Amino acid sequence: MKNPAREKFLPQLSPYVDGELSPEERQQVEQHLQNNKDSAAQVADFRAADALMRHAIDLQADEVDWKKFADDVMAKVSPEELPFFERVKITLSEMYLYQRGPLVAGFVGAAVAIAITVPLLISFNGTPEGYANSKVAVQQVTVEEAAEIRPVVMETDQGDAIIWTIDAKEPARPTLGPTETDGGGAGPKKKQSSEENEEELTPKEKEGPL
Amino acid sequence: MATDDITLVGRLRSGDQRAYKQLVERYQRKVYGMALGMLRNKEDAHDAAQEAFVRVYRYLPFFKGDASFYTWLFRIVNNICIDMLRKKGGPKGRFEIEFDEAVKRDIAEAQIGTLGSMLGTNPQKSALRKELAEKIMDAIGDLPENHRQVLLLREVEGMSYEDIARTIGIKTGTVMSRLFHARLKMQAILNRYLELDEAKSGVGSE
Repeated sequence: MKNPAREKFLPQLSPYVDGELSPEERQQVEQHLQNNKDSAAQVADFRAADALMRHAIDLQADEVDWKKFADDVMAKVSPEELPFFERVKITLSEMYLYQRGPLVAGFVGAAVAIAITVPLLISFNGTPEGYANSKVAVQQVTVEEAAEIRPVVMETDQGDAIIWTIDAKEPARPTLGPTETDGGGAGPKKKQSSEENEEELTPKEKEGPL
Repeated sequence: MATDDITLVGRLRSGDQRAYKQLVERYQRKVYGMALGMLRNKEDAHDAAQEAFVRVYRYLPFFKGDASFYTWLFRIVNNICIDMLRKKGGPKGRFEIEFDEAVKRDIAEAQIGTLGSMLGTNPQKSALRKELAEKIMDAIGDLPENHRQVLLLREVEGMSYEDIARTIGIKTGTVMSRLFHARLKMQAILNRYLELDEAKSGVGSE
């Protein structure tokens, strides 16, 4: 091939025959074909060979007994379910072919989620700090026998109950002995009660039996 | 008016065996033609075509409708044929030929204009005989496997370049390139078979 125009248009002759060119390209090729007899002959050859091929295959297909073919196929099929792994394989294969973008995006998203989550899980080795700490990391529950406690039950509209225990000591109540007040309530209040009681003990009681 | 493929597929999904038979009858000739072109053997083509329809039935739950039914069907046919060729230990390595160098050789062998001028585009007029049809099938079989695929999908099934690309899993540009080479080779092989010696030079007149 020594003709630059022919070299340029040659790859377009096949898509031209197939009607796969844009209107602009098609117009350019047709203009070229009017000026180049070799390219025009090439197009005629392509069309002749295509027609021959289609007709030859049709002739070969005429030799088959198609009614028997269809009946044989019908006899071969049965509504059995495929094995699980084959179903997974086909599903992935279909997704890869037709939904490659979303599939890749899904894998990338999953990989990112794993990359973020796994280090967090590895570094998480205990109860989170904060208010919930005492609730989720209770190691032991004991009730001081000497304490005077009173439950406060708050029922929710969902049927749950929140139970608090409070120091049952009356504010105006006379001095109580250590066995009556020690350990009552929780937190700062409990500590305050112990201090108050301690002040009110006699020296003998405070020191204990000698 | 014929029921469209998707409607038949929907009916088959709901257990209508007649819909399946309609699909078989609709595509059996083309599926066989594709298989025959690929495998060059009538018995193998018959088996491959039947196997394709059996797989369609079995794999139908996985057909999501992302592509047209016939694209999906011919992907199955293509895969079966490739598997059969591999099992038979057919020629390997006859794959992609890049455009620049190969095209010069193909053009030289194609003997431009002889087929078109002698046979025209109407094969009936050329009184295509059975022997000639067999020679043409041999010529198709002589093409490299990957060229044969695209040529058959285009000529037997009438697929667009985009559908061929989706069926085989290649780029549209590759389809175009392979089809062009396939046609040049086909032209050269047919010339040889038909003993047409009126070679012309590849030099244009523009």
